[in-house]
Amino acid sequence: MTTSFVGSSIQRREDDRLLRGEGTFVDDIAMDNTLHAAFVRSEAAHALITGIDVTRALEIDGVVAVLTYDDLAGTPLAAPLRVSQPHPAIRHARTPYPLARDEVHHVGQPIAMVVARDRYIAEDAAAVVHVDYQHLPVAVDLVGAARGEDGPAHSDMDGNVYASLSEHVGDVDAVLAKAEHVFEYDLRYERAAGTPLEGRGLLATFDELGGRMRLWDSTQAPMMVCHGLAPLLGLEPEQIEVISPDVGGGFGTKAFQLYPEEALVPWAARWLGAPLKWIEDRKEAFVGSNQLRSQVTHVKVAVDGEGHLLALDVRYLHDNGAFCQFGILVPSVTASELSGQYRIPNLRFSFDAVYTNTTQCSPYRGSGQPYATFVVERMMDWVARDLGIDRAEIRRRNFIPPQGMPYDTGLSFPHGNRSVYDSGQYPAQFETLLEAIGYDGFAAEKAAAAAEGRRIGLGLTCYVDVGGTGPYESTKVTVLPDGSVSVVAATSDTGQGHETMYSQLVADQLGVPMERVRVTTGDSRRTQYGFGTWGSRTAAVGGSSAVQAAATVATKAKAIAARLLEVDAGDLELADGAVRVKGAAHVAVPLTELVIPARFGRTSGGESSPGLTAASYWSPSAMIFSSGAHGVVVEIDPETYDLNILRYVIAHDCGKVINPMLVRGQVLGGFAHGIADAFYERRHYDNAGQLLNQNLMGYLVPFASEIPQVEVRHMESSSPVSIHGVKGAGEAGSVPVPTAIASAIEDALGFPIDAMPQSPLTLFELAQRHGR
Amino acid sequence: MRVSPGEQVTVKLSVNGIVHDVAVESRWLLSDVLRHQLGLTGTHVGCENGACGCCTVIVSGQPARACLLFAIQLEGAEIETVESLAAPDGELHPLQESFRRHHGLQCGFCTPGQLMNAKPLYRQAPEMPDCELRSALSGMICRCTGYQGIVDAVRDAARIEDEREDAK
Ligand code: FES
Ligand code: FES
Repeated sequence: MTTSFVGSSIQRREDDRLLRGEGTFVDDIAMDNTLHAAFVRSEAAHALITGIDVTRALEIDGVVAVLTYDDLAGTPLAAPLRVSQPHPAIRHARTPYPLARDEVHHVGQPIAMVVARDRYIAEDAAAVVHVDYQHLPVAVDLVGAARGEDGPAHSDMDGNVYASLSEHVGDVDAVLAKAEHVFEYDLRYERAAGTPLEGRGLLATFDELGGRMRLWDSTQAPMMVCHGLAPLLGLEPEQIEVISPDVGGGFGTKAFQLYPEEALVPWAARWLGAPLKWIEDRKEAFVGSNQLRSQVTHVKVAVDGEGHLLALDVRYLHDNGAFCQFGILVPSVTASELSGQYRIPNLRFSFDAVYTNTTQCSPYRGSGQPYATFVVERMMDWVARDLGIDRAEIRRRNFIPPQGMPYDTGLSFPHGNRSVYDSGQYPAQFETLLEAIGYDGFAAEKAAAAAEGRRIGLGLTCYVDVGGTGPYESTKVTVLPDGSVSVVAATSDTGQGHETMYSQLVADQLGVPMERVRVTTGDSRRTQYGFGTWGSRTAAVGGSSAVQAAATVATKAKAIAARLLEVDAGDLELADGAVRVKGAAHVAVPLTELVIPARFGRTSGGESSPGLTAASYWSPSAMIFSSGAHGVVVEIDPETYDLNILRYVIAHDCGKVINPMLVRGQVLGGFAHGIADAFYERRHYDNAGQLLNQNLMGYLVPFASEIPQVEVRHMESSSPVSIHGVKGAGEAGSVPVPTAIASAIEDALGFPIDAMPQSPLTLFELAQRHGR
Repeated sequence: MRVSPGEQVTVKLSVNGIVHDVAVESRWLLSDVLRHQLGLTGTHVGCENGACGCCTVIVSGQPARACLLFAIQLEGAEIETVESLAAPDGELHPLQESFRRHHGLQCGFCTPGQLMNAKPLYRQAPEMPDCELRSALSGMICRCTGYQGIVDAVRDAARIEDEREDAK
């Protein structure tokens, strides 16, 4: 093979149109006669709706319709939306009606939909829809909600716990009972949200004659949306064209299905007989788009005198907001990684998943993994402290060694395989980090700083990050009559550069220049079975399916060329757009000349199917785990408690790298989310369930001025699971950052940091409490 | 001039060197008029309250947030949007080229605003210390890149431009 694109920092094919302002985001699509929707959303966190008056709204010139629950009666939209990730542990499934029926459960829940000639008018009308509320008890605080002291969040429930799950390996109680040391710790993590810069957006149009719905949706999961919509619209999935065009970031927020608006907008477009557009504004995004992160944990750990982990018992509460459309996915992901990078022979988790009267939760970059890292790695620091062992040394004593791979943690991963680490070099990775961050010399550095009245601290954390989640992903590869190659992938791109990534993989397999490969992603007109982009899975799972499909096409091409050239297929290779004899490049047949014989498959004999085309639905046979270690040195201002990051090192292993530039982009982008999660972003609810910071002035997404430079050290432990050794890089950059920062702040200030995020104010208060 | 709510008046908007007669209502934002009346959808909207910088265009030489301006205010102003950056022959502006080389964009939603915000300052960027450049670029949210690629791109654009000049 002469070409090799995999492994090089190829510039992105997406960039040209985006740089020129010629991208196509949902709101950039204009159709004649389009109507515009706006929503009336609950102003109460928990209330009965005792009346809705739409009269004044209907009087406004340009208003076409105002829909409430009653208008949906008799349609599939009059029922609550489905739980799309069911689990037997769910005892009380509660999901929203697309438009609230009689009870609202969080501020921002849609109550009425206004349709008008333009968005300005739709918003005017939404503002004069009058809703009467009879307020009900509100559950906001996770612990209070779990204990049943607050709420209930749903008036037909006694408490707020909707699911409980527990699993164990070994005999945790027996070991805890007789261990030399048992320590107990409490930890807490607060609410944040993905906050993509482009909000959600929908444009739906129904072709009455053809019986087809077309929906442009700013989503990470168009195939899931398509299949989720089918029963609501009474159509076959093949009649629903869900297209995710250019998407302005997702980070999990858009990996959901279905949001109420996603059901209502296409339904109403069909009912009204006109294209209908809804573009989420920022205020709606704050209350209507999913959030994540609040969790409260109690840990019991048994260790011997040398700090070897013997048993770990983790109990936690998970706040899922008002509903559970994603079941217990997030707390289950937390559970699957509670072994961290360590051998822990006896392990048990149990969690309660809890409703509160806040916006619903679903995965946000890292899903449940940041919690798992926070719990395990803070614990490692504290066990080291409590035993008087160096915190690097205690990790060394407990790492899973490379020769221990694959390592079965004994835990399961939700809806999939067991949590078995496929490969990794944890000890070497950690030493790389320690060297780069200057761990050995840090005590002296800290003392010198202290002598000047400066408070600096070093933080450490290791982590694992799941990449290869199933069940499968699909790609179809076809050599077109002109010799160019079409790649159709079910995943959707939200900024990762999938067009570039898939082109690199397929161009290598088929020996064609990258420009000859055209890539379509996230379009249900072109493929039906597949999932989408989340959980660092696209390069590993989607990538494997692309490689497999392309390899099948290559095999077909060789078989046909072998007959035409009268040589053995084993002597052939694909290069320069042709199939040729190895070592005799002039004996070749161009791919273009194989297209027709392949199409008349019967005459070519031996091929499984006609055409130079193949689809792959590749399933990972086991889980795939990336890993890494982060180190940071921070300085805390003794007066203002502001955080200054002096240096930050990431040692990172995501298996084989397809495009180093893109991987670095993912790591640095994730890192910024991690910094945000550590010190800037928090969704503040008051006790009445009102979100206090509903805009980007109050919710502090960091700017360039807050994000420091980072040193990234790569390692490459190829995955034995994926076809091409790739693991996944989308989330790993963010998962460990708050934990590393917590560790560093604790080192600088000398009191425990057991909650995240922190801020100057919370640190000041903690310092007061600790008499500093 | 008195304009009542809902009434449309025609304003002359000079955008990228072309003067358009556009009928607008008094409350229509410049961002909406650029996007939906003039079809210049390169200017994006991320918050509509001046916090994200996505909608940044250049108004009479200075970066300005199109979501904080009413189109009706802008008769006589020279408005430049991202669509004006590339040369008439299609060659990317040095800033655009630099963003591409330094992976200064992922989803591309913030990119037009980042480019327009950087346009008046990229010539000075090579001399600016890192923290100064970062604070010059602050106020502009990018949710994808973690900013390193953007900072590198803005810093390197002048060099790319000079290199091109030398090659001519
Ligand atoms: S859209 Fe104008 S600043 Fe955010
Ligand atoms: S590239 Fe996505 S917001 Fe900047």
